[in-house]
Amino acid sequence: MGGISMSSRPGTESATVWINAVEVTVPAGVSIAAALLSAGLSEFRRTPRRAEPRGLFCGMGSCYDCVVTVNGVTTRTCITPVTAGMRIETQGSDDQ
Amino acid sequence: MTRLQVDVAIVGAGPAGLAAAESAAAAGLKVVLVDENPRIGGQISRLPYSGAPTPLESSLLKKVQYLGQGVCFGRGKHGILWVHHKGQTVGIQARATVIATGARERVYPVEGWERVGVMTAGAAQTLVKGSGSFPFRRVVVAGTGPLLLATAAQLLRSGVDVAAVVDSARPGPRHWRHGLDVLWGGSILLQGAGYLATILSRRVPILFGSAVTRIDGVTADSGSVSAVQVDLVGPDGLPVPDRTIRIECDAVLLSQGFGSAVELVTQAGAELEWNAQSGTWQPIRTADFQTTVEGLYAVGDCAGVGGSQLSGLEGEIVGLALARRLGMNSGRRAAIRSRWLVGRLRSLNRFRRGMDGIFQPPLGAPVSPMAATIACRCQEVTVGEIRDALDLGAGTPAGIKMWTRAGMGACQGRTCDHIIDSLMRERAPSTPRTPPRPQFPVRPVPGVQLETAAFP
Repeated sequence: MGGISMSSRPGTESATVWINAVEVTVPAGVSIAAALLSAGLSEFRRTPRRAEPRGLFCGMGSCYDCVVTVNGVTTRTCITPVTAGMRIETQGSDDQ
Repeated sequence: MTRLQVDVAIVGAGPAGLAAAESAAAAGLKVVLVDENPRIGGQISRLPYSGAPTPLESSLLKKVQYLGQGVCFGRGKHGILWVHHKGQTVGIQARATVIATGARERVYPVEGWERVGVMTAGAAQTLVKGSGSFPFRRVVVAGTGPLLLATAAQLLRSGVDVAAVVDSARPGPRHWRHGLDVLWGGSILLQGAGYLATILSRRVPILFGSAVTRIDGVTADSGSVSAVQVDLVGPDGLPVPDRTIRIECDAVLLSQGFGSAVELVTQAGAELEWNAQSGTWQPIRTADFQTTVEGLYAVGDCAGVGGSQLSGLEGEIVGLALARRLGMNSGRRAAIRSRWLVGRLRSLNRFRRGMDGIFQPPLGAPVSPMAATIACRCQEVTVGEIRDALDLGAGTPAGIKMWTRAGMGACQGRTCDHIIDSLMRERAPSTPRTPPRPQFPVRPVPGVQLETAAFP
């Protein structure tokens, strides 16, 4: 994906989470948004009207574009830390 | 449901809220501090989630109760502040409430801005600061305002490839007039010079008087960012013909000024006034920063965008004022400190006015958006649909909302309020300004958490 990556930072722990029922290892202690991006996923959901992909936009919990379902709850990925064992679902149209 | 009884409740743990918490607690008051984020610091600090607590955190969290990841969704009957915290509803009864909810970046719509890879400048900074990563190969930073240069410089220093900085500001004689005011900023000015030096030394082009007019994608309809079209914008707001350039990139960072987050303070009943220079609504306040609602205070960027230093001063001043109001004998030292703070506030306010003058944010898009461009991201309402509604007589933001659903999504109009306003003003420039009227709850919360007692 290019850019700068977390693997260049020494001592970064990882966490194993489920992304769309697939077990994935992501950096721990970062936002879910950052973790998804590091796993190569930049499209987090689809819009209700046109089914268009959305992802990170405001980065501060204001726009609700970055929401995914975490353990069954609609969650703003940009302001929520990733924790081990999270069940994250990104696909499908999210009706807020 | 949990009930808390405190002297002071503070919403927002950025520079203003922290300073208020610190000075109120130092005076012996019982304080609860609420913030949506897991850690204190607000947008400017963006501490990573992992890592040891900072000295400030350790010392502060011994003196105040912190409800991190607490979403304050409104102020109800009897002045109770309602917070959704870790799946629970918390009702806070406080003798005084301080709102320090800060500001958010404003983005004006441009064709393709809904593509993945387009984000605010702040979102990029948070990614880099919070996770040490920025998985985009090449970025264009566009918009206006001091945050633009700061973001570009900080990203460059972190190793990100910045293809260009596109600034709609046009440096000119206006800048000299405000130059003197800006000198009151002191160290802030030096920081700004440093940012410029970083950008220029790495030969990143800064395109002034220009704007991104289209964002292209890897696929035409909904693909993520592949390039931007940049136009030189004439004084009439129209692109200058034959001066279009195309820059390949996979991320576009947009930053076009700030809007104060007044939802909570307005829902609580406080009156607002329009600040024409910054193009934002802000709460009417006394010298002690009390709003028109008794016992409700507002400090920091939510009461007028002024930056972190100014916010910190206001926070400390309100903490001292609350100590006096709530009967804690603060003594002579506090009075001297208050006077010094107020003096320093005056200097910083002068600096802020100078900056506003130089970096005058556009109170509308730099280039008028096309009909097919999305205006309301949440509900996918286009600029054309809003213009049609205006033509058919929807004369207010509420009317536009009823007609098109614009502003009715999860973000409750936080992303599109200024966009709708600029489209209204484009049609009828002398439309009288009406303040927003956010309803309870001011944040989406799970329905099962709402208690009937909460409804104001």
